[in-house]
Amino acid sequence: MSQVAQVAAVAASRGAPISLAGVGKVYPMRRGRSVEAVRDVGLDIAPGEFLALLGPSGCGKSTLLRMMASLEEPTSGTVTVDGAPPRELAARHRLGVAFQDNALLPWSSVYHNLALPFRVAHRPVDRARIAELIELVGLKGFEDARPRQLSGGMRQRVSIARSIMLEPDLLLLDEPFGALDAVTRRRLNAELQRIWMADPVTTVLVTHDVEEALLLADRVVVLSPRPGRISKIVTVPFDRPRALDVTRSARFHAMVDELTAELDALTGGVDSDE
Amino acid sequence: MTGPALAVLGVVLLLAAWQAVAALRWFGTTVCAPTVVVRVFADASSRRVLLDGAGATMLEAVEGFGWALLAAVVVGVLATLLPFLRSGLDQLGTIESAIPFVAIAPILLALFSRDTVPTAMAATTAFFPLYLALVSGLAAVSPAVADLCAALGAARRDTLLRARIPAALPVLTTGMKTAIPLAVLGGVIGEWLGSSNGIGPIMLVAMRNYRMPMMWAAVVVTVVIALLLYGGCAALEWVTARRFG
Repeated sequence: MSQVAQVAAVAASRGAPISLAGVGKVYPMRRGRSVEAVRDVGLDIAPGEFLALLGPSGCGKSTLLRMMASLEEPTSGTVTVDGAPPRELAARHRLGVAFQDNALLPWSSVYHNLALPFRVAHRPVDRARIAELIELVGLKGFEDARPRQLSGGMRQRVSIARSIMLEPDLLLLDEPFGALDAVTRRRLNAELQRIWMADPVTTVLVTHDVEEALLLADRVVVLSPRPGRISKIVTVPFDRPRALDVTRSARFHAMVDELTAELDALTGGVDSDE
Repeated sequence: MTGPALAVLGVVLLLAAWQAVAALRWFGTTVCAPTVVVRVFADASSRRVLLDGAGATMLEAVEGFGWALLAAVVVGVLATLLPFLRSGLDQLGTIESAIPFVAIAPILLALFSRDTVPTAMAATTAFFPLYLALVSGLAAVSPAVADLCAALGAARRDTLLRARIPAALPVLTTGMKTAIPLAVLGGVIGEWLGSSNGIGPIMLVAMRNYRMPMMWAAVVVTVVIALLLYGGCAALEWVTARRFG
């Protein structure tokens, strides 16, 4: 299979390619009115690429991600993952997701929450794999804790661990650290980078945080406010791991300024609505 | 003052008001004072009759409640797994709950033996609140969890088993708390339709023979049955809320 050769060629990176062509999404509202969330988005994401969708609130970036996750259908255009409708990847249990709402089952322990992907895929629960990921996200000793006993940051660690449990071909992250404080967020960003480098799979991260996007992504796609359109695509030049020496470099700051200016211009200096 | 203290105060006030109404004879001799009712319970043979009746009524109510719960689970899960059935089943449930006791009684009398009618009546009255609680409980799973299950490629029955049913349990037990007194009510009314067991016939016989203390004792027993079963459901609700809330 050619895919195998390709994976070998780019060393460790792997995953499903994504293709968006002329994608639009219109939500019907009451009294025949409608809201256009996304308009004419075309984008190709390579296998093993880490892509950030950056934009102000309400720019349709989550809508785009939800379409890749098969949680929504585009009203125009096509979304394909691995050359097929996104639904097929999800049905094969090859998709990993983490949302801002951690979506943990409140009645289940950390261990059982992490076993969920195996259970819904009707695969035997791999205890060693769960233990390995609990260790990876630094939650050793919390296996039996219930989500409400954990801090917000710890819950998101569980959520991230769950998303990569079955070594998915595509990882979709919708502001996974959006509700966390700045310090926890920075630490989890560094951890996400480390986790991703251990298995660089195609990843799409939705964020409104410029530094987060530049720290993690290979490319940053800036979206304009409603209706969401691609306004700029930036390739991030820094080598990984991107540690303090990178984030404190003049070049990093220049890129942060450039993207922040772009966002400010897009929102016209007006606060975007939540 | 604390909650339990207020509750005790409320009961004491209620008993005092009852005693006063009886002593002042506002309703002649039809209202017996609590002190008179207590004397009925002190009598061994009356106590035996009341306890036997209470046991029978409790059994009917619980049995009817059990059937209603089973029916609610079957219909509710069906309505959740096959969404196109949902609105039709909801309509049917609403209509069922809107039929007055008096109208449903002849149907039940035709369908069941007189001694089974109380159980059937208890089931009929308890069904709708249980069904409502179950379907709204099964829909109560958070949108994020529903999205997660969809993204993980979970089949509908797996989502039901792993996410919807655990999320439904606290809502269902709250519904059980509402439904169980209705089952007692349905059971007693069912007994009035000619059953030979239970607290209902005791009430009727006492009323026809103008044995007011016995009738009031039977009313008290009915209230105690309803409260006991309600307490059981409330305890169950507390446990599920802690485990699955």
